[in-house]
Amino acid sequence: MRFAAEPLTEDELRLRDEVREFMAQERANGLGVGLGINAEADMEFSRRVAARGWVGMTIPKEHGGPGRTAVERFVVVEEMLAAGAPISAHWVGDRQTAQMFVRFGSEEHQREFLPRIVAGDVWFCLGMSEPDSGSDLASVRTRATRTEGGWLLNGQKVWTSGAQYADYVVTLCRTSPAEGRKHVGLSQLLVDLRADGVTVSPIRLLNGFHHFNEVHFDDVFVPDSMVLGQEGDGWHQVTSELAHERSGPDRFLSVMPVLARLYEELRHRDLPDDVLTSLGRTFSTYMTLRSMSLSIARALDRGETPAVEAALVKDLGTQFEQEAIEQLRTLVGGELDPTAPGLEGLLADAVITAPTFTLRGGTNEVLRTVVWKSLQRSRKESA
Amino acid sequence: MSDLSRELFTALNDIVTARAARDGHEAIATWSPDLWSTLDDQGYTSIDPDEPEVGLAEFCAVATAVGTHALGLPLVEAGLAAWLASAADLKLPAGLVVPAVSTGDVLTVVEQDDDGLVVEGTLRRVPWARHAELVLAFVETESGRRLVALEPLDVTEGANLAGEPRDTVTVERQRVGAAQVGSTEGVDLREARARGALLRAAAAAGAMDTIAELVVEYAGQRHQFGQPIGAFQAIQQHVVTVAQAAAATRAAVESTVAAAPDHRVLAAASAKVTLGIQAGRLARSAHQVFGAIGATEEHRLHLLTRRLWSWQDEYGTQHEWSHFLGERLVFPEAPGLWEVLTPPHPAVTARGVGESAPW
Ligand SMILES: Cc1cc2nc3c(=O)[nH]c(=O)nc-3n(C[C@H](O)[C@H](O)[C@H](O)COP(=O)(O)OP(=O)(O)OC[C@H]3O[C@@H](n4cnc5c(N)ncnc54)[C@H](O)[C@@H]3O)c2cc1C
Repeated sequence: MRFAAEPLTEDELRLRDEVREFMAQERANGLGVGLGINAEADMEFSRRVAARGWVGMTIPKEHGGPGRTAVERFVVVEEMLAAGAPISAHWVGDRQTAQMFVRFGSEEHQREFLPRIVAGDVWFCLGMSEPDSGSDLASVRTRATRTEGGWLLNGQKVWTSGAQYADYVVTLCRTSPAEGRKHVGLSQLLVDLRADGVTVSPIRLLNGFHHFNEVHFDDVFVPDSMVLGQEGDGWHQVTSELAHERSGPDRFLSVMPVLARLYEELRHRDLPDDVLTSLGRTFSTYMTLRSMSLSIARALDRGETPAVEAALVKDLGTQFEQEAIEQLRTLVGGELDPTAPGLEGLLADAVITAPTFTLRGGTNEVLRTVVWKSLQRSRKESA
Repeated sequence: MSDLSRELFTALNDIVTARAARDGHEAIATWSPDLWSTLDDQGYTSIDPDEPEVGLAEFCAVATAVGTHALGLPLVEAGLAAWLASAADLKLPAGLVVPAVSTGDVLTVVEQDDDGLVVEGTLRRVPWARHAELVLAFVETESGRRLVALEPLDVTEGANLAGEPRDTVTVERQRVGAAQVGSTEGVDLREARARGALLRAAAAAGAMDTIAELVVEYAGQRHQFGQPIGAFQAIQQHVVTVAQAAAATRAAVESTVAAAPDHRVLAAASAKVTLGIQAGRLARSAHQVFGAIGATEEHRLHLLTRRLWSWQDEYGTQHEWSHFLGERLVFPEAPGLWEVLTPPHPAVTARGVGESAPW
């Protein structure tokens, strides 16, 4: 596994500066600070980002997108996450669904949805997990059965982030029996969250926050035209996007806004050596992880699918985020009040929600199995 | 990787692999005059940093090959010395020259005249001093620090955790002629140590890659409870930890090589800290996978892990370089944390985290 380094080019640095300026302006206008993709959705903010051309950036020009590179998207995303921007609303569409449409979508889907993603006019969420299907995602039981002109969908999804405001839930479901091979017969349906038979109810995160939901499908009619990609090809479609889902800066920058706030206080002080050392160690890990994550974006631009590298970085990055929180607690010291404003409140929130970092998007244990399998495969190939 | 660095790596790899196939691994763990002269003939001991196509990538490639094979010869040191000498305009004779910059010891001047200097002091942990014709050390003079080349006259032998020579050179009122005193321009001690640190990290990345191959192989071969131990998830997780540590260290090295010279000491510091963090994780997991056999002298694993335990402390410990990063990156006029962590930024450049001498 190689993570070749290629620093940002002049053009990419210019884009970075533009995003920095934009975020400074947003901050001056009173935009709050949140923690990574846990931050509360802010549709107005997402539309302003879209207006700058920074949503759906990698959608090719022929599909009405800006046709920019994965690295340019990386630059925008890392700047926003580091600044604690509320990017949740456009996050799923920008990171995943757009790629799905480009790679697997029908012409109608591409024509209808891609320009709307770019415009910040449509929000998606991901309906994969179910009460009995977590890590073993292929065991999903939500079923769609044939009916006149489409499908009747029944079942239940859980932990569906953003279903309370999204327009569509990209739903992984069974469209034909498994017959012993559970990866076969799965499809992805685009389900309108306002359709009859769809019920969304909140599940509160451990800090009381309404981030994800339960979604029930009760004889929901889904027209044929809303099958995403190929019927029966759902497993392949879902797994082929993992490199996009897992490698990003969201996997190591969630607590950067907390550290950045602490830094604002510390940089005016005369710090003892042990504090400088502890900070320096954390800085070093940020630099290394960033370089690895950037190298994955470069690989995507070369047309590679570094899914295993992405799993490896996500595991390393999310473990680090949890360690960084422990370090921050030591540096800040004392009891934390989650209702306190500023640094203390943010840190309290990070402590409480840290367990989610190593779960969402595939648990670290499962990611490690992915990496192990690949190591074994490459050993067999070289033997 | 540049074409030249790939060539250097591959050719060195081939030489050492052929040698190990003939003599076993024992032969590459200790000083071998015979292998040294082969490497000398092939030009590996005298890669010239002044050649336009030779740069940091090439020296790192050689260091990585040294680590990959746990090669017990001072190739990395010869390279670092050549760079230091070139930056300070010192002409070196043929023969082994090693740098004495790992610990940061600096000699003092007892007398100074037109013919040169008389210096004294103690240089600790000098790699391979017992085999060297000359050592390069910094001397504190009235006009700043100078690099000097001097003969190691009084050598007390010592070793690192891997048994590689790390000697003490005691310098007592020793005369160094004007021709052996470098110009004031050139590198400073911090840059020199950052280079050493980077090369150690590059070598460690090579050693880690070899360990990663060994653990994957062993997990597939060794059977317990009727199946390969790699069937157990606990072992799979150890193996992944090893691969991950190797990948992170190599990424940090490559990103330093690719960094702008303005921020290279910063990047090298970060690579050395990464090595410090990852070496411990990796060695723990690797030894766990191998069980008792991996804890024996006859097994190859210790040739690699003992080097990692040594290299992580040489040219500055993880602690020291972490402190450097903290001290350089936390300052009142800073534009913000994220900005200082993602150079280029003029405020960071102004903190002296770059290199004055190109390679
Ligand atoms: C904040 C947050 C947001 C989320 N958003 C979404 C979303 O928008 N859409 C969506 O579909 N899902 C979402 N998820 C769900 C997430 O993908 C799952 O939590 C995850 O896949 C794990 O499933 P699980 O929680 O059922 O845990 P389980 O699979 O039940 O795992 C429990 C424990 O067992 C371990 N385990 C399970 N199988 C193995 C194995 N084979 N080997 C070793 N260990 C194993 C796991 O690692 C874990 O430690 C979200 C989760 C969180 C926390």
